[in-house]
Amino acid sequence: MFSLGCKKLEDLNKHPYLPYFWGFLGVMLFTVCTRLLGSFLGEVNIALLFLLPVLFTAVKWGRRAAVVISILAVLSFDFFLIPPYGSLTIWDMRYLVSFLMFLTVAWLTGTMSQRLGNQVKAIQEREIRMAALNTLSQKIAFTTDLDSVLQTLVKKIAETLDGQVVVLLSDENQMLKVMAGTLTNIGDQEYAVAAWVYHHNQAAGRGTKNLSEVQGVYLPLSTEQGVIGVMGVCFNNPGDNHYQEYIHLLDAFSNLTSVAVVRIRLWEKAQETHLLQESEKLYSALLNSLSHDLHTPLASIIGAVTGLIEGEELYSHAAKRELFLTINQESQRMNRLVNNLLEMTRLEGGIVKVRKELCDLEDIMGVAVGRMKDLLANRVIYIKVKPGVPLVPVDFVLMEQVLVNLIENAVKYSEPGNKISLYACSDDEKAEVSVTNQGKEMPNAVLEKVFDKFYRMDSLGRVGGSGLGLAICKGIVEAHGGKIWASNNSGEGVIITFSIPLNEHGQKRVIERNCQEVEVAKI
Amino acid sequence: MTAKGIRVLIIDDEPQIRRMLRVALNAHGYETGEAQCGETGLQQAALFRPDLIILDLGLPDLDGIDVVLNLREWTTVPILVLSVREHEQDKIKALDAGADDYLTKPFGMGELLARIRAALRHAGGSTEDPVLLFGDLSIDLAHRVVTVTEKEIKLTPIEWDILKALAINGGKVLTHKQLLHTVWGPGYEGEMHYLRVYVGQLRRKVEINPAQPGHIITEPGVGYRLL
Repeated sequence: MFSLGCKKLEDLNKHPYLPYFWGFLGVMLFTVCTRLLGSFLGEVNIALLFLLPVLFTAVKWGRRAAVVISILAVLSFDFFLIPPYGSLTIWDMRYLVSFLMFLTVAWLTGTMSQRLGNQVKAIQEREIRMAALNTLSQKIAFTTDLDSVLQTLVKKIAETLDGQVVVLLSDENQMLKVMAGTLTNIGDQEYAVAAWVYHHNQAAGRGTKNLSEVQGVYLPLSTEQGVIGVMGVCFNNPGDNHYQEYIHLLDAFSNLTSVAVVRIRLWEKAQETHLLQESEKLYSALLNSLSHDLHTPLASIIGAVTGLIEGEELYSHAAKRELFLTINQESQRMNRLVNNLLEMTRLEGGIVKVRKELCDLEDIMGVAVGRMKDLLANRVIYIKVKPGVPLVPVDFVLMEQVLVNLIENAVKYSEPGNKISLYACSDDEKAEVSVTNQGKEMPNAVLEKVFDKFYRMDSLGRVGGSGLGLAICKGIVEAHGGKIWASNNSGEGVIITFSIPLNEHGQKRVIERNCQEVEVAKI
Repeated sequence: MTAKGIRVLIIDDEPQIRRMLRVALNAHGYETGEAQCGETGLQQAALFRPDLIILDLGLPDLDGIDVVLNLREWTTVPILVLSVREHEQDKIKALDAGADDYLTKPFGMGELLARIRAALRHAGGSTEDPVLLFGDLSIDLAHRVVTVTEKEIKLTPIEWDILKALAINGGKVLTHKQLLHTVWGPGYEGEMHYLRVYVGQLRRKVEINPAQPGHIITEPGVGYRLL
């Protein structure tokens, strides 16, 4: 049953004799009153007064109660107030007209009030349905995950209809599969009905015209593109005409479900298209990178090596050494590039697993600087970790990659002899690491874009690279729940800063470690 | 140390890598043998009697870890594993399985030779000398004295244990697990943060610039080595 506002009706269901009791009481009261005041009021008024309980009952409880009470009132009037008193015999036949009046009034008002009541009930029901549908559609409007949308739908429908709900969707082989439901284990028979509904695009099951011998009622989830699945409802207290009673609501729910499913499928398709476009972009950029950034070092390497192979004796010792250095540098550059391409592909593919453990930022900085030793040969490097920075929960190897990329970037956009500083500090919630170079400032619009994939600054001259370095940094930092941003270093260059949250877990471990330290020292 | 007559077995399926290693190692006086897969590698290890094995972890027939385990059943010959960067966990597994050191492809020849020397030195048991020298850092195992540029420094017991473990295996990588096990004992292998804290402290004492350490080198994701 609905949790409808029709409280009166519920009362009636619980106590079916209540109106008769009250009517009887009313009639008796009037009888006693008019009996006492009879001579004062006059018979006409008394008759009219007796109409009151009849009207009241009619308005409040409907036709049947009104008729019964009117008969009661007539009898009581006749018995107590019309001579001969104490008998149902009537001397004056005009009173028969009064009796008829009573009955007519009772009948008419009762009918009208009942009709009115029914209308109110219908309106209230509709309102509740609308509210249920409304909240439901709001709830699912912004979700893009099919499972959670279906879960929400199923829960709400089950709650509203007081039953078990199951949603079956067809897969690519036109087979129905249970996707969600409070009732996920449906029997073969029920499944067969669901399949029938799916193929015939008609409702079936209990209370309908089709296959009504099963427990549930099944409705097709139809869309413009055809039927996409079936919704089944199994009422907890199935009445014979439950289906008829709830047909509109069931239709509304099944429509809502179809719309939701279609919307999400379309969204997914749009996502796929978007991904495809992205990956096409990735491929074309990859090709660009390969053609330019891999060819350039390869050209140097092949040139140098073939020179050495073909005419080794032509080169002086110093010249040979220079060629070897070129080969080395260019291969290192290619190695970094290939690493970046691989890293980006893995980040995008979700293959990268962040293995967080408590790490020393100073250590990571040291390793990153060590790895970039050759590149940093003609820069001045400063490393500073503010005292008191705790161990930070990060993946050492990935963080090292972030710093390597940031350092490479800082080198790219600065001149030999410039200073590059690495700085780390922390507060209660996060640790911050920044890499600052001396070089040109960047316009604000550029600062926002540097972390985009394949973004390269044209304004600062031709600089080699895949345009992936900072995008990888962003990917890794965000995988740690952190943030990364770029800012200008008051006219002196660019600062790239990233923050890593020190979660509760990390904090706790640090404290734990301090206790342990004391203990270990004692041993 | 002269490399004359030292036999190195190269197990790698890439002919170019094998050729490069053969040429370079021969040039440095090593004698080389080659195997292009795990099975032949295991046979060659018995027939060729190498003093050191260079093993690529990405073999076509056998899992590199299994090759290490198989070799370790009957020989203590130093094993140097080669891996690619993507497979961090593999090299840690190989090291914990008994490999002596690792190199990530691509690597420089200088690095390779240094690793080979460290592994051979360690295998030769040449740690008879109780005073170990690492540049300006000297560690006297017998008297428990550590000096940096001839100035004695004080270490806590834990710091001493870490430094000692690294020094005995001079130049060779020790995984986090191995170090934690050696210093703290069984049951502490997962407590990586202890190690991070103490290594940080140790660096402040023995390194000239702790932010760019020259002695205690971090091997990202793997462990530490002392140079």
